[in-house]
Amino acid sequence: MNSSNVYKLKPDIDSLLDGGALWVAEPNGEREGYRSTEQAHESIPFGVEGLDLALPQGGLLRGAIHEVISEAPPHAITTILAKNALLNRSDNCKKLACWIGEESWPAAQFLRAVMGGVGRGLPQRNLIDKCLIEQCLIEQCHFISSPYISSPLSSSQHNKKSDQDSLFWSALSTLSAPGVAIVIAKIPNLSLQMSKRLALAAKRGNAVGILIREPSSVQMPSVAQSRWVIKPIRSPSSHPRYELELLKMKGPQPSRYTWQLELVNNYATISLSIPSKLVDRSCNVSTESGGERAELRYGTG
Amino acid sequence: MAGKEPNSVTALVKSAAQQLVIERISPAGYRTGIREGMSLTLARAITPTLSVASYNETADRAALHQLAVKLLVFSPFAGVEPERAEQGASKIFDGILLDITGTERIHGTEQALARRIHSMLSQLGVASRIGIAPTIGAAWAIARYGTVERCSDQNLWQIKTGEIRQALAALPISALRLPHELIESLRQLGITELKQLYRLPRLTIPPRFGKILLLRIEQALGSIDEVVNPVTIQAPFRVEHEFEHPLLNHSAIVRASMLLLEQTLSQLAAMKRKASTFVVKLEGYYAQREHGEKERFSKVRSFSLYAASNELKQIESIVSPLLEAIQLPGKVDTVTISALDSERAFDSQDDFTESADARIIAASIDEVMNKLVSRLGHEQVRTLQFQESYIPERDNLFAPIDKREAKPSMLTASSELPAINRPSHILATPEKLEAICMLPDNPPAWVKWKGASLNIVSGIGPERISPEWWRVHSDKRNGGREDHNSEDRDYFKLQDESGRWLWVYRKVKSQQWFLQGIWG
Repeated sequence: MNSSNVYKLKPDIDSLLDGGALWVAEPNGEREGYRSTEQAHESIPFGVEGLDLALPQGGLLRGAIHEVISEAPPHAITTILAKNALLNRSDNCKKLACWIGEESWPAAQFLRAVMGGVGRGLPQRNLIDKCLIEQCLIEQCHFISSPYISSPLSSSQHNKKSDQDSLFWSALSTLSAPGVAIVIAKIPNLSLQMSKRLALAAKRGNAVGILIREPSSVQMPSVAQSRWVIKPIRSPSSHPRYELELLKMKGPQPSRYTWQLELVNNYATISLSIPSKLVDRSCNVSTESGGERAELRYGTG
Repeated sequence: MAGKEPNSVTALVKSAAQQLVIERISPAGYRTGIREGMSLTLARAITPTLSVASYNETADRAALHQLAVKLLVFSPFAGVEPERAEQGASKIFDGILLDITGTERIHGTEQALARRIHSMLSQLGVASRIGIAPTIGAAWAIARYGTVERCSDQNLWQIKTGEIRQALAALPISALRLPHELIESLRQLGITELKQLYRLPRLTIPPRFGKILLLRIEQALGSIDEVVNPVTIQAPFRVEHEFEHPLLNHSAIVRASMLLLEQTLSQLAAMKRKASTFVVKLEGYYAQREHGEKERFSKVRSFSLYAASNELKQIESIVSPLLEAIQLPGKVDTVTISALDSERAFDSQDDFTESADARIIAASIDEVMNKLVSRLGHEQVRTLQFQESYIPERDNLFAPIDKREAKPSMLTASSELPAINRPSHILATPEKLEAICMLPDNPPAWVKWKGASLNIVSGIGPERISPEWWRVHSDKRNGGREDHNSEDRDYFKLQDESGRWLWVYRKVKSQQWFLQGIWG
């Protein structure tokens, strides 16, 4: 049975296993190729098996825009998606990841940790390999800002409009370019008409567009292919945890709508995972009972 | 010619053999005893107030090239001194060579010419020593090692035809453009001046000291010819059209400009070149005022590309909105389009392993970057670079994109650190917090940020990050006021009741608390 036939049966298997995992063995027998080639062309995975397998396309659909609604900047998830988009070179070409608007830019060291932590699918034998992969991926990341934002007149209405126009134009240009794999943008006051134009541009360029929205935009109409809400939740370990809720998805519906994710940092590799019930409490500390005394001391002073 | 004369003691350093070495020193620094090749540590011991910048060889050579282009007004043959590292000598190129043969009719005497050159360089802020001699080798030697007795005018050293041998005799052997090692070995043999070299039999020199020594002697004395490799100026690709009847219709002006752009790009393509800067100039007369004379106006729009191009469709898509946005105060009678910074367009060989899509995608990357850079500016499109610092505000740089610039190495000290506990969002400026700790070195149990009280449920830390010692000392020297980055910080990772993780720090001395970032 080939992989496409297996995927036709996926909804039935999902209902039997209550959203459990479905693995399609690759010819080389490696487990990591659980996504079919068709899916790799169609979507970008989160890199979390339980989440990707629950989604009908195995991740975020290419050629469409997706909205992420969050109170705090959702850079952890967007950066990991950018890495997956850059690595998912289905057409064997180096593409770009673009962050549009300074509010969408992640922290530099976090980006480095995410991009350097390439384990799956690429050989990473030693430090040199790690640095080369990291450098290669970071060179593909571009950060675009508005020329009006640093102006002393940025508080004026005219500048706000110019700022919005330039960010929107940048998002349109990058989304419609075939050489761009993913665009992560935060555009103030995005209207329905603007989001329609972005969706058309993404379709033309077959890129994934991720729009970061404020919580106040939950009720606003949108043409996004999917809408997600990210909230932090209490974590018993030292790894931050988030609740990822799928508010809306066009087309085939997933088997679940809510996931709890953990931002894991193991061996200098940052990735998302579904938290284990067996929690590592070695780092769990109370602020009243002394806390963990980290033995880290950087600097030359 | 020496480099730019600064008022302060400034040095350019570069990394060599795991230490920073002085590559260039300002005249003020030279007077204090600092020499090129000296380690930075030693130089700082001599002059603690030494200000330091990193040496950029490419930029240095480019600046010298620009200076040579300016000096073309004095002679058609002006060239940058060839880089001597290729011939085994030390890598120095700080001179410009001018072939002034036959220019006496224009400039009068050689002294008058030298005065003009000196005055022009002084206006540009460049200190200079000028040597005039029948050979390049002799001019080089006299300009650098000429003694006071031979100084015929202010900053001019001159040797006349037939006097070369005698004039060079008393100069040190380093005046011969020799490698350092050879100079050292000659000195060990007691040979310090050129007149001692004259006495050696010519045939014995190459087997004992290598061919370079004899070559340099013969070049200086004029027995072997040496030529100036002149710099050339690439004429800009420029198309201008003057209309018989001035145009007022905006769309007609845009259409005419597009036709001229097409011609400019055809010129580029015919010469197998592509350009990265384009200038569009519209000239005409202001709308006529009552009883007033006609006044001319000129509207110029220019843009630079990320990657040079001669593709009409691509450039047209950039120029067209620029022209449409121009507000014209009157009729246009002249349109000029110039293509600058041209470079050779290489034909690429087809790669049989590469798909057709790959070529389209690679071209589309250049196209979209060109669009972004030309509309938003180079400053607004950035890439990430890392810097050697542990302080979060200083460990990275979102630098403007430039395809032509070499990419810096990512293998810096901070990038070798394991990526631990760094938040996904760092605030541009740390925000002040109020915090209460139950015990002095414990994570805070309560913080107040932006007026909201946050109960902390768990925390990790402290992780101490100290600023670079040289920065702290430098700050103290430069006025004693310490900036907020020159203090030890204790970092804590805190989780509030909502599950949000914050990265906060406490300044060790002042005990002030700040929020640095959030895991979002």
